[in-house]
Amino acid sequence: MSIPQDTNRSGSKIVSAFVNFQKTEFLNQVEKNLVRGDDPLQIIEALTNAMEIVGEKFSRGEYFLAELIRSAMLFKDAMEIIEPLLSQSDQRKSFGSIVLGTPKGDIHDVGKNLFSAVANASGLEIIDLGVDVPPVKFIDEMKETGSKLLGMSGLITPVFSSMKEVVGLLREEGIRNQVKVLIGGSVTTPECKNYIGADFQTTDAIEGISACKKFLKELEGQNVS
Amino acid sequence: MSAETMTPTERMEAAYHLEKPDRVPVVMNVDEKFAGRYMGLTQAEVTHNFEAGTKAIRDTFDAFGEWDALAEHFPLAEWYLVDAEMPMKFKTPGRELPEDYILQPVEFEAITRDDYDTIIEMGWPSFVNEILCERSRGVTAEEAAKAKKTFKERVSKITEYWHQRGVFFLSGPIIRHPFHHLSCARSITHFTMDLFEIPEKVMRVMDVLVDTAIENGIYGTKEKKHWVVRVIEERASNYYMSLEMFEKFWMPWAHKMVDAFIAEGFNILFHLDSDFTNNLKYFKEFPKGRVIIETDGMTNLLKAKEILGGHTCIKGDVPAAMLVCGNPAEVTEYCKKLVDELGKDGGFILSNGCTIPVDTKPENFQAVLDIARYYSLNI
Repeated sequence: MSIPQDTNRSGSKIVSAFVNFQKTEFLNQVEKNLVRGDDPLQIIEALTNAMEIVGEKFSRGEYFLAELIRSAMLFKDAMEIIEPLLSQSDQRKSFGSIVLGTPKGDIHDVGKNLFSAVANASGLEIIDLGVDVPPVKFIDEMKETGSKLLGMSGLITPVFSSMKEVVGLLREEGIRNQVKVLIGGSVTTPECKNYIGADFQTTDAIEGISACKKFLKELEGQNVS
Repeated sequence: MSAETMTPTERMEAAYHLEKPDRVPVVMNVDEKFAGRYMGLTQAEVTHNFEAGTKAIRDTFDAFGEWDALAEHFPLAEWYLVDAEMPMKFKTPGRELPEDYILQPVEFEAITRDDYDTIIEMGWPSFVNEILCERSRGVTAEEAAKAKKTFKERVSKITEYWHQRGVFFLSGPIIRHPFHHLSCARSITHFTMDLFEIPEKVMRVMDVLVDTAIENGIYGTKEKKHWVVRVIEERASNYYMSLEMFEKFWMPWAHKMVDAFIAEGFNILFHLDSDFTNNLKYFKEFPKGRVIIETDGMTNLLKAKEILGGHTCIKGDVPAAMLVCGNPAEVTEYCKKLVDELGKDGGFILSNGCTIPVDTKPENFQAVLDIARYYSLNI
């Protein structure tokens, strides 16, 4: 995706300022667009497109974790302006949802929060359970929300046994084949993905978001209900 | 089969000096967490009881037949709880956490952006004593100083015990690169915004911090009767920021520390968490044979050998996940490869990454030791 040039010129200004981290210009343009009556949901869509461009730059090695953090902060600043103007009936378009948490034994949340911020900005609805989450709580939330994606993050190895327990509980509940399990965090490896029984492992937030999109398409194609 | 011809101290010193020892040295970074679990104690027992923690480390060292250097010899946890310079809060087992959880840091904005000017004006030690102590530890400067004094007296006794035993310490004191220190103190999110929004101010504050880091490094290394200073860096890798930013925000202060420590006759061990593969070329700027890098599962060690072989000692590492989830055959194969690729010409130390995981399988721990002790004798 590239920065849109012609259609909706102000939208392209928002995207350009976001991608280039011109904070003042970006926030001014957001406010300007709102004042002139632009649909807030369309502005959020522009932000999502901008986040996708940032993600592409990260994947190409032009941007790094620092830029992901910056983009998440810019998105948050913009949403603070936009959200009060959303009506109750306004539904932000999302491409799916994920139940996310740091499992029992681990209270770290920096990586999880960053993934959450970037993924939310990219259009994924986040159901964040927090840290030190008992395995059964993941299952309860998956059943309650009907989410097809379960994401677990960790920074220390005690989290592995909790992650494995979560996957075991999904099997016991008979819903393992209906969902996808993603694990992340710098302590995780492709090998421990197999040990835990997860579907995907990464230490890269952008890769994680791409995997979410791919899995949701797959599950849709399987007509999993 | 060949036999060992060196003491652990001789072996470690040879590796540090880029020579080829009789075999590849092996260092397992054991602290009270794994040691406590291995000896059947709860995390609360070894975190809050200095004697229990140091005994667990000693008993584990003996139970595994010793390895070539001790990375930690007292419960680090207790140090964190009294060291106000460590700008994170901690949740500890048996108190804020269940009995057998490991101690874990809680990152928060210990230093605000407004504090930068205060640090520049007051200097770091005064800022720690008059402001940070209360904010991050909830104690006054006097209470912190008293707790530290008592703690240091106990550490001094156990340090002397190990000196008497002739055991080599991996390094002298642990200090933090100002970049890492500020990132922890501001929290990674706020610090990231600082780097882009007020870069000059960040650099001025790092100028202040580095002087204290150097002073502490020199003092602590002499006190421990050592000649290597260990510098922690967990956040500056190319995964986090561009190489241009690394050149701007990390290298100048690294050079300052390296120059100061070399002037004292010391070597420098950089503890590098995260993926530093793309940053490795910068370590060739430091004098040959004066720096050791200690990696943590993500840096490509074969690349490290290609770039830094014959210039920098490499201490690296079996990934944490492999030690916990893997089996001895996998660990053995992995370590053999490391020894074959990195150990032939010397300047290599086999190790785990960072601190050994609390739930490391003992048979995997043993497998790492066996490769160094037996397989590497014959390479």
